[in-house]
Amino acid sequence: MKIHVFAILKDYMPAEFELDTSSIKNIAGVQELLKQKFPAAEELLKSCRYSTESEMLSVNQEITNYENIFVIPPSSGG
Amino acid sequence: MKTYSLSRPQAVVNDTHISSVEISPADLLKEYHHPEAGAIVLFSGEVRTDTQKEVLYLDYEVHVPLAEKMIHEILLEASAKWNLKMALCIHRSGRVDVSGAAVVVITASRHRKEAFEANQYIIHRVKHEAPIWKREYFADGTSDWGHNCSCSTS
Repeated sequence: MKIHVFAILKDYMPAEFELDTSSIKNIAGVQELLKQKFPAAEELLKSCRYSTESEMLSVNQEITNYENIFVIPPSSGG
Repeated sequence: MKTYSLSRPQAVVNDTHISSVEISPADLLKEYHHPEAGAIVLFSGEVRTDTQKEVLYLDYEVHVPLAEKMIHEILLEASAKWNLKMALCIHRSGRVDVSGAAVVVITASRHRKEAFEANQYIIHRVKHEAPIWKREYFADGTSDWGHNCSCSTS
């Protein structure tokens, strides 16, 4: 699965990278895997949301059919 | 100036919500009117500098497909909640200089109470929910990701 991150997350990890999610069921699992892989970003990841290209995903959302997941840090628009 | 048929029951909501080019609040206000609206409220969120650390410009990063969808849904919800005649929101992506418009919200309703309340609701939700992030570039050569809005979430 390809992970895409934005904004301040890019200070901790590449903007895009492949993640082996074969043992992961849902978004909560993706979050845990990211925390393990990038421990310095753990606090930030706790406040991130997750989406597809155009839809927000809940933490319980199963990820079997997704090829791309976007990690959304807290917004700072406006 | 855009004009709309009186027979149109639903609010008019603009189609494109993220712009990579300069937004002109004055031009938008000239363009968007509704014959049944007695009140039009325009909010322009503009880049400001700071007395403590001079800001040169902001650069906005946007998850465009999701932001477009989310902002559109926010406008539709606000239109239904306040019975708006018209709702518009356009947010910049890319560089915006000091005093430039980063985001514009226009709401139109029969009376002013609804237009004011809906406008505040829309900008509050866009700031807190839309996948948009600002990076501040300072005169001393440094830059930093902007922090979340600290305003009330109620």
